[in-house]
Amino acid sequence: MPGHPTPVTDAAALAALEAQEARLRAVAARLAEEIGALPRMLPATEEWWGPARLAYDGSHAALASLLRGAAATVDDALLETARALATLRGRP
Amino acid sequence: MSGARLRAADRGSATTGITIGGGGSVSVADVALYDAVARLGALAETLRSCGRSLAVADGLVVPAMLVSADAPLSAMRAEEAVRSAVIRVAAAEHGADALRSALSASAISYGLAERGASELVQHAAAALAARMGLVGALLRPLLLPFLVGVATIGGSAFALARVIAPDATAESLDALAGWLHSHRALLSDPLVVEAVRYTVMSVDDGLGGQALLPPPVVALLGDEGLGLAGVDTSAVAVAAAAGLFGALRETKSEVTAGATTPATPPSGFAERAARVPSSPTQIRVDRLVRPGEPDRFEVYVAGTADFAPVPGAEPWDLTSNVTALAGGEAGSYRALETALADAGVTAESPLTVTGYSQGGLLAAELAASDDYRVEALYTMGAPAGQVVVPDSVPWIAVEHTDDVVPALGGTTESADPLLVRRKAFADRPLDDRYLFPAHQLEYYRETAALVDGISEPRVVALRERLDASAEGVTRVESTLYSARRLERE
Repeated sequence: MPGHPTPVTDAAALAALEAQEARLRAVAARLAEEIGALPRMLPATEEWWGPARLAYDGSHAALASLLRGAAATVDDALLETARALATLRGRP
Repeated sequence: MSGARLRAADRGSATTGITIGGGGSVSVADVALYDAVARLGALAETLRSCGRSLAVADGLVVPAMLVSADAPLSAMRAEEAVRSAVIRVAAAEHGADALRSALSASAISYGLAERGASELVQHAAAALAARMGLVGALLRPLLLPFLVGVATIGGSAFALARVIAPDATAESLDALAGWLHSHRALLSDPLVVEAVRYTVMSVDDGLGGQALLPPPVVALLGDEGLGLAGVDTSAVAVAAAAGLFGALRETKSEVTAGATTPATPPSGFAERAARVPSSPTQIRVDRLVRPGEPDRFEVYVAGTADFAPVPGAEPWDLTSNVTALAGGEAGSYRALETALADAGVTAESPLTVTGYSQGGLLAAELAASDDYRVEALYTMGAPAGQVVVPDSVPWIAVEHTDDVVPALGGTTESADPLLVRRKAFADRPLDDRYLFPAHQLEYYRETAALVDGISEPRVVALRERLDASAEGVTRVESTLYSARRLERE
């Protein structure tokens, strides 16, 4: 019931949020690794045939933006989960 | 990014400029592009995994639980953010997949465009050669006295000069050699190399025109039509004409085996390239012993050692080159057969053959013959484009785009090798020790080391096929063979 949590319900929510936080941390780390590797994924494309270069140059920036957007959202989720956990842990 | 993928990215700069084509696929592209395709595939897979992980995370916490626990608002916000992340990660995954597909498609488009352009150029070159041959034949009555006069006067002058001023004549020849050497950049220009390739393919058409055959008939008989005439018939004509002057005539040869020594099973392209022998030996046969199973053999065949038109003692010479291109039994091929028989190779023995230059041509002919069971073929700088190697034999052909020798074998329309090409002197000056620097074995060995680092699936599959010969091997016995020509036939 809102405003009247039982200790058992608090513990279950805490465990679920902790598990969520662990998964989010792992995903955030993998995405950060991929974003860090993006510049290395760009080889010298000067020699590439026209359509290949167009495909790569045109879509690479869009892909980088999508990746950064996804990573930022995961970071948001992680931040909010950590806040919720702190609040729940601070309860008597 | 995983360690393996980091290494792949590091390798990119070294292998950029290597193109891969053929081997059962129309796709042709730079290794860097195939590396990017592989990396994008791995990225998409990582994102798929992240998406699955986020979906599980989303399922761990349900709104009813949060309401029941009177969880803070931040927990609800976290839930919304997780769901949003699932969508965004999926979008990024689709982006990576789309880019990977676009790059793969562009490699296929390039392969198709290159194939179309090649056929177009070949047809145009053949038609031009046939018409030039026909015009030349029609003008022959007018031009013949003039040409004979020029040849007679020129020849007489040269012969006289050799008697009167031998030093000056030698100087002139040296000057010619010097001129060729100073213009070796032209001989190593990829455009010139391609021009040579299509010229070689069109010689039969020119000869058809000379024989007063109408161009459509020439086209019907040639490589572009029924294939009754081609590089091989041109080589026969060259050998026949040269034979009138005592040049390019085949002889018998004898083969001597050296001592047999222990060795290790080979692995990869560079190690095999390093095992190709050089003069005075031309053949290396390694017997790979497997308990309870038939022996396997790794055969390594050297390149041309003597470019003189009149055969001397060396069977790996110009005469063998022309005879092999003509589809005949070259002295070097017979020597190779003798060495194989001496090593105990039978028609049933599994063979893996590595050949450089003329050795590559002979290796391809072994694979094309019904006499041997060649299980994998690896050629470097070989003029073997017109050898009809069956598709059942995995074949990797490494060529330098600035090496004119493979171009002398024409185009690879008759077979479908996995063609790995690189410009040997793309970012450094030509090696001035050689007239044809890009054809030197030392530079093919350098390229072989780079090919070992390529992770493109077709290259990896071929390397695995080559290395399969070493499975279950407990002992390797290596024998070097040297051959020499005997008397004229």
